[in-house]
Amino acid sequence: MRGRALVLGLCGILAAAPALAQTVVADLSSHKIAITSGFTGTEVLLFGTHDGDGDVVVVLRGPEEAVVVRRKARTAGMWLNREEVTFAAAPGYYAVAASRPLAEVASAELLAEHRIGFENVHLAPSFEGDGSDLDEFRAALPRILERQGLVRSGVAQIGRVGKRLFRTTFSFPASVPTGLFHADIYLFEDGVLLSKRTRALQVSKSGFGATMFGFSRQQPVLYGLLAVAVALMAGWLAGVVFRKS
Amino acid sequence: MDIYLPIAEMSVNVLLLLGMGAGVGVLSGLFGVGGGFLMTPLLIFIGVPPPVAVGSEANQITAASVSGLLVHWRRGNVDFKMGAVLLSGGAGGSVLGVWLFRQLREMGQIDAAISIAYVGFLGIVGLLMAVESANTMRRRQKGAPRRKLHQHTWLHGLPLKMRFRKSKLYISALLPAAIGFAVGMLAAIMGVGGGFFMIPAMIYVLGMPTSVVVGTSLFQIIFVTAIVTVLHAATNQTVDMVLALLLLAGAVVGAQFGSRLGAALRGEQLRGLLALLVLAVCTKLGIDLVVEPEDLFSVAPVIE
Repeated sequence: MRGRALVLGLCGILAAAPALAQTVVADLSSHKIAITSGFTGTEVLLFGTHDGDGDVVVVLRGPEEAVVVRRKARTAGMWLNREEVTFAAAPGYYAVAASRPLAEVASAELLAEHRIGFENVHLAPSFEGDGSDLDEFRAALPRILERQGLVRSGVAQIGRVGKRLFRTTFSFPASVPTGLFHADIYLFEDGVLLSKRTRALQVSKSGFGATMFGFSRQQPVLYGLLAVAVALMAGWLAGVVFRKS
Repeated sequence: MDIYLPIAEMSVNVLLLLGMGAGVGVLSGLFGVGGGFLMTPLLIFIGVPPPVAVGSEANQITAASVSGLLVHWRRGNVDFKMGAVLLSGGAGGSVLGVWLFRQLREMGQIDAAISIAYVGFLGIVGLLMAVESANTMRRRQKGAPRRKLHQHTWLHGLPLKMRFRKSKLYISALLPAAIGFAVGMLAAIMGVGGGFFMIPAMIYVLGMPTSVVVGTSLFQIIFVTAIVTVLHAATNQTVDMVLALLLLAGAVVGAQFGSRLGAALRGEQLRGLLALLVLAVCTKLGIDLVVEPEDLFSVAPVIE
């Protein structure tokens, strides 16, 4: 028994050895998204190449944030928020692209291990109740984020240029969260992961808006006083302008 | 031409904001109201998060009220003593209002609470104005006698009596303080100056002469909305200065046209029009509350 396992193991290593040499290289058209005052959303191109044959899967993940999903129920004739579930680690952005349907690329277990596909993301819910309800809340999160353009629930097709060059684009709405994004590029062949690369994408506010936002969070009271001072000045100025005309 | 609002964290067309400011400015010049009760719901309708709409609109009202106050001040139409008493209540009301706002926000009920407050207040004020202007129009036709300037009730017999020379009143200070308190809460929760509530209260409850009512209410509104702005900035971080300034820019231009237009129309007709407008906003918000939403679920960041 033991000898047979050893032989099998050796065969496995031998079979994998040339495959391990196969790698994927990829990069993003931009590593920084600056949210300026004219920002209305943007697109980033991911491109790359790989050795040999294989399937490419790309996952772009935004920074994790704690969010609360609430469900409305009719209360005294009105639709008010009632039950809620907190997800401690909801991705602020999530999109997958693949060269073939995911089910054909790798086993469900392998996809789950690498958290490929929104259903495999660990959301860390806080919940005391029965599981069927939790599933509804879990399903609501990507549905709502998709409406805001922050999640792509389907798997986008990765475009091929020739046999080994590939490219795909990710789009970001104006409400894209700030922070560090990661693009994970996986190369699978015959259901085995051969290579993985990670590329970072920094999304940050920039310019006047960033200064304002930072000030409002770091010195909230001073920001409030400034807002009042500016309002008084602007109001007085408007009065002066229109009194003369 | 889009602009990214740094606190609202969304991209909005600049011309839309200027246009909304101008539109509400025309109405406020036309009717002599602040317009916060129209602007805050409009901001919510275009997708600004309700807490940001309230905080930024409070900031805008401070600015929009300055020039009006200066005009009334020059004409001597401000009862500063009355204003100070109103303000003492207003400060307390805004502190309680912002605290309540924060609690409701953590509970996930703030959006609904803002809508319910609007439906309630706009409904009552709109109906009262509609009835009042209809009665006036009918009376004008019949030529019925005018009623007394103001009546004395038990409310005027409360302790802590004070003399308000400019308003020619000797009444309990508790009364204006209570009115100020209510207005402070309205400002904090609804993002309004509260003139639509305060002016009738000053005339019908306090019995102030109409000549000093507008100036004195503007005095109170500037300070209360300033307090509300600082408190919202400090506790909720929901004051968007860029949004407030864009709305102001539109509003000051709009108000000039509005006041000229208003001179051509009769008072009760104006009030009737305003009543219709108020009831329309009230109906829209009310429908949104009772009609089953397309998606029962919503997502919000956790407030720590």
